[in-house]
Order: sequence, then structure tokens, then C-alpha cells
Amino acid sequence: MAERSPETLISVEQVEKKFFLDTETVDALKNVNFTIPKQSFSIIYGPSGSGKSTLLNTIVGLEPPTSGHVVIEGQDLYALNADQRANFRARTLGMVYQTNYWVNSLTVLENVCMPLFLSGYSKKQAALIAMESLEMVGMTKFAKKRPTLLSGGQQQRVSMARAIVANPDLIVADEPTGNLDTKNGDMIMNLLSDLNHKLHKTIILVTHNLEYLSLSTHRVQIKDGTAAEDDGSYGLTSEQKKEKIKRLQETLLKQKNSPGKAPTIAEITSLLSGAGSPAPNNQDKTTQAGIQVNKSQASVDGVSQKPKDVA
Amino acid sequence: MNTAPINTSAKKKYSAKYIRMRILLSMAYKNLLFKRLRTFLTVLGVVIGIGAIVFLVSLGLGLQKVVTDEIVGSNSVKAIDVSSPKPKTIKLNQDAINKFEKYPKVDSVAQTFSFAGKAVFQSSNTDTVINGSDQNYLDLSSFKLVEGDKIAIPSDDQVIVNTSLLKTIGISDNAKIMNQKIKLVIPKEKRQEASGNAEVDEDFEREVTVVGVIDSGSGAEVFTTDTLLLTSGFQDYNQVKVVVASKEDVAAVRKQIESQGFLTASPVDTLDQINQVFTILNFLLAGFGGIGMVIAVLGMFNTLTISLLERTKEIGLLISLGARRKDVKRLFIIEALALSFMGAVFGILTAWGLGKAINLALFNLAESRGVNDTFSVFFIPMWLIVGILAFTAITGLIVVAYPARRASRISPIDALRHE
Ligand SMILES: Nc1ncnc2c1ncn2[C@@H]1O[C@H](COP(=O)(O)OP(=O)(O)OP(=O)(O)O)[C@@H](O)[C@H]1O
Ligand SMILES: [Mg+2]
Repeated sequence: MAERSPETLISVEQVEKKFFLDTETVDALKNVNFTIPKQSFSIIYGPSGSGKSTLLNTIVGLEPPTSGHVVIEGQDLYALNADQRANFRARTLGMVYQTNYWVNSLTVLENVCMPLFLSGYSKKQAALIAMESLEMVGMTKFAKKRPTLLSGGQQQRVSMARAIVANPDLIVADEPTGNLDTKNGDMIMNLLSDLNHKLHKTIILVTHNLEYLSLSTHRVQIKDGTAAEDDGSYGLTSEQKKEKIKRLQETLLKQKNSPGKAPTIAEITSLLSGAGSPAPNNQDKTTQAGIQVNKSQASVDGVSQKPKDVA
Repeated sequence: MNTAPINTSAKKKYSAKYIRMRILLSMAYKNLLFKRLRTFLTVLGVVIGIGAIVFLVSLGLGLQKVVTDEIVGSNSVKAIDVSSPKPKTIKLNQDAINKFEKYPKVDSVAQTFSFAGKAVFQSSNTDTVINGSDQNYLDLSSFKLVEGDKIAIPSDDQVIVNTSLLKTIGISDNAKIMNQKIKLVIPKEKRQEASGNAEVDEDFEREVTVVGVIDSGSGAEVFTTDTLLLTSGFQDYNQVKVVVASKEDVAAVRKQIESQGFLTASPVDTLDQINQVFTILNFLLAGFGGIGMVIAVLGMFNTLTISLLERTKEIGLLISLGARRKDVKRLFIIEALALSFMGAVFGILTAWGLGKAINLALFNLAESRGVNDTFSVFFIPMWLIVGILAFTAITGLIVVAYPARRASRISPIDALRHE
């Protein structure tokens, strides 16, 4: 059984999920126990159909488990009523779904604004913030389009923008790079990594791409509805871990940038300088600074609005 | 720069902060616009329903207004007709009139004699009613002047006759009788009765000059002055009109007069009856229009239910993004209210425009027939507009109650899986 500690954000306790179909019962989750540490970059991985999406939906309060508990910061999620869980999602959570969902009558920008609207923001305030969010995923050009007219990959990027727009403490993403090419996939991963390192967001990611596993600080492997936790470091010290992240980012950057425009090592180092010292109890992050750092990060990476994107 | 809020207290995370009304409004607007054709058809249904109600009711109200204005507009509405049930014992004479004049709220009293008599013109002679009326009485009677300067009898040897009289003596050109002499005859029996003097043994006879022709009903009538008859010994009036200060005083003064044993009648009686008839008519008309409204309401219910089914996924998304039941409900309610409000506004405008057009056509028709009075057979009072808006709002709320409730109870994850 997973143990709760002050460092624990989410504790999944003896969660079972059965789907009762006409002819059979599907055991999607079988006695799942694990914890998600605060400010961790947790990756949930496992084969298709193993129960990853079901688990994520349970964690965010959308799929009540057949038995067991999901405890978030000491609060049993399913002891709350549906509206209270909705409030929790509105205030604390950004989610990227495996499939893209939109309000079809609204534009990309308005869709990205939606989490802010749900927190009582005005149209104007929300549009400004949402625009920054779109900029981070390189989708400002499409702000006025209808989301359903975008390609699958573009939709996933907008979906990411929507997940981070309200500056949630917890970001849950179900294969956010599933439809993306390596370049854009890496951009999304960098964004998540930044959010984790610089803004100390807790990330829970489902991915098939095991290359990204090295970005994680915490892993949960799912097999046939059962979870095995692997807390962390592949036996690496935190220094070694930092090194590893740095190397990964460097390779990612090299992949993306044309040779002439590759950033200098100094730039990358300065970029990553904030990354090594997570401040677990520092809840006082101001978004303003955060989003700006992030924005400049995105542009230094050259992934959002550099002209070479066209080439 | 804008900042998103950071949740510091856990309590805040589970408490509500709803979507702003303006954003809900714009979301509803965009969704209705997105489904243009369906929105248009739904609104059209409401427009027809509301238009039918407003058109029919405003026709009823317009006709009622035309009729009642005719009565209320004339002075006669303030006049109480007084007569005696037993002329021999309860006398409607000068004493009685003096009494009436002293009642509070009484402005003036008008009186008239009327007797069956004869009118003789040249070789023809005809039965007629001979009235001896004072000017006040003539003014209150709202006759229509056909020949002459005005409805007035300046001296005792002048009279006004009506067109029916001319017809019976065979004069077709009304102008021909002007300034001609006719002879009035009241038989002696009537004279004895009205003077209380059995000794009178002569018929009343008098030669008079015609100074005007009026239109006053189907029986032959002659109007002379009341002084002519008074000086000839007639005492008891047949009819007296008591004029009160305003329409509202009619009832009280009537009671007083009736307590003296007299009979009273008033156009207010007619007015009340007319209003009663029109009230029934208006309800019937509203009922007919209501059939259209029922259909419109069903259309609205249909639209909202389909919208619910179509948008199950969207609602699932909104809830999974953090929308509360109240947000979802409100979204639906606002859409329903928008549909019904648009329907009501355009329905009222349509009815108004149609009424105007028909009225114009009627007016042109009347003008071509020589009627120059302006009139309007359609009348949309303020209370009708407010009432219709309130009615549609309430209908909209009732219609949306079920879909909104269902929408707000959608399980988000099932909704997202919904195809
Ligand atoms: N609503 C449902 N009704 C019935 N069975 C379901 C439902 N949702 C999921 N399942 C079943 O539960 C199991 C786990 O599904 P889930 O979607 O969680 O897998 P996954 O790990 O996310 O797979 P993938 O990597 O392909 O997305 C599967 O066998 C699936 O068929
Ligand atoms: Mg899945």
C-alpha cells in the first residue's frame, strides 16, 4: 500500500475499476496503489488497453472507481460531490485528453479561454492569457479558426495550450504527443518539462514514447490493470539526473534547430539554470513571472514562432 | 500583465466561481449562430405563435377601443337618462329637476318632452314624435346634422326635423324643407294628461319654420323648444338627462335619483356590456393564437432537446474542464430565453406591421367611400407587450427546465464517449 507523506500530492489507494458490459465485466484497474509526489514529473506507461486512460480519468475525478480512494492533498476526491470535483478541476487541474474535444461553435482562442471562463475571468482578460498560452505551443496563427478544422497534431497543441492556460498546479496529459511529429512532440515535452522545473508544476503524463521516460522523476508502469511504481531515479543521484535531463534537452534542441541556429551551450545552461533546484514547499509562485519565463523559453527554443518553422 | 490565480487555500479549490453572465450570453449566441438554420426555424415558430396571438388580441382590443371611444368620447357617457315609471304619481316636473340639480357632482340637467303628434306639410300629413327639448338636451343627444348651421333652435317658432320624417312626407332632397313652414299638432287627450287640466278641449296646433335637418333614428321626429310646450301648459317632462362631472360619478348619482322612485339608464351600462363582450372575444382570439403558440413551444422543446443530444460531448467537455451543474443549466436556460425573446420581439413586430398594413388598407377603402375620420382597428397597448414578453420568458423557462436538468446531470466521462 502506498504511503502518504507531506511530499505526496496524489495517493491512489486500492483503486479498482470494473466496467460492467452486457456480456462481460472488464477489470480495467485491479487494486492499484501508488503515489504522485508533489512537483514530480510522473510518467505512466504501459501497453495499449492496460488501463492508463481509465486511471487518469479516475485521478482527475471523472471516473469514480468501483472501490478504493483517490486522495489529493488529504482530500478524498470521491467524497466530494460532482460540483466540488468540477471546482477542483477548474482551479487545480489542466488536462490533455487522448482524444481532442472542443466546443464546436467557438474558435480556437475561445476554446483555450474556456478554463479561465470557468474561473470567472472576463473575455478580455481570458483572451490575453490564452493568447500567451497559444504562443507557447506555436498556435497563435490559428486563434480565430475553428478547432475541428485543424489537423490532429495542431489540435493536440491547442489542447495543451488549454490545459496550461489557467496556470494549474497539476497537469495531466494523456499521450499529448500521439499525433505529433518529433519536432512538435519534443516541443510539447520541453514545455511540460519547463513547467515542471521552472514553475514547479506536478506533471502526470501517459506516453508510449519511452524516449521521454528519461524526463521523468517518477514512473508508474501499468500492465493489465495493475500498477508498479518505480519511484524515481534509476539509481541516479540528483546531480546525475540533472545531467541526463540537460543532455536530453540538448539533443532535442539539436534535432529541431537548423545547424546555423543552434543555441550555444551557454544559452542552454542559462536556460536550465533554474531547473536543478526544485523548491518543494514554495507555493508562492507568481504566474506572471512564470508565464513570461516560459514564453521566452519557448522562443529561445525556436519552436514557436521562429521563421524557420516554415522552412 | 495578467495572472492566473494560484490556489493557496485548499478550501477555495472546492468552492464555486461561476462563468460570467456575459460569457454565457456570448456562448449561447455563438451556438445559436452556429446552428443558424435550426435557430431560424425555431424562432420562426415562436414568431408565428406570438405574432398570431398579438395580431388577434390587438384586433380585438382595437375594435373594442373604436367602439368604446365612440361612447366615451361623446358627452353622453356622462349623462344619466331619467324617466318615470308612473308618470301620474311620480312626476318628472320642474320640482324634480330642481332637486336633481342640487345633488353633488351634478353638472347640469337637460330635459325634453315628447308626445305622439302629427306634422302637416302642404298636403301631406304624418304621425311623428314631437319633442320639446332644451339646448342642453340637444347637445347631449349626439345627433348628426344633415342640413342647417347647427343643432340649435333659436326661437319658439322654429323646429328641427329628422330625415325619417322627410321620407314619410315624401321629400327626398333634404334641403327643400329648409325654411318651409310645417304645422305641428298634439291631440287634446295628450294635452290634458300632460297639463293635469281636464278642461282643455282643443288640440295643440302651431305653425313653425324648419331650420335644420338631422339624422336621428328610424322614426319620424320633430324637435321644438321645451319653452314652447311649457308655455302651452305642458308640465311633466317625459325624459330628463342628468349630466355628472365625470364618468365615475354616474353610479352614485344614479342611486340617488333611483331612490326617488325614478328609472335611470346610462351609456355606461352599454359600455360595461360592450367591454364584457370584448373581454370574452379577446380571450377567444388569444386562444386561437394560443394554438399557434403551443406548436411553437413544441418546436422550441424539440430544438432544445436535440441541442442537448447533439452537444452531449461538449457538455461533457465543459464539465471535465470544471463547469458546474449551474453553469451548464444556465447555458441552456440562456439559449432558451434567447430563442423565446427573439421570437417574442419579432412576433410583436410582425403583428404590429401586419396590423398597420391592414389598417392602412381599411383606411384607404373608407376614404374612397367618403369617410374621413382616422381610426385604428389594431391596438397594441404597453401591457400587452410586457405581458407577451413575460409570457414567452415563462414559457421558455418551462420548456427548458427538462433539457437543462438533464444536461446538468450528464456524467462527463460518459458524455465524452458519446457518439
Ligand atoms: N467505458 C468503458 N466501457 C467498457 N470498457 C472500457 C471502458 N473504458 C475502458 N474500457 C476497457 O478498459 C480497459 C482499459 O482501457 P484504457 O482506455 O484505460 O486503456 P489505455 O491504457 O488508455 O489504452 P491506450 O494506450 O490504447 O489508450 C480496456 O480493456 C478497455 O476496453
Ligand atoms: Mg488511453
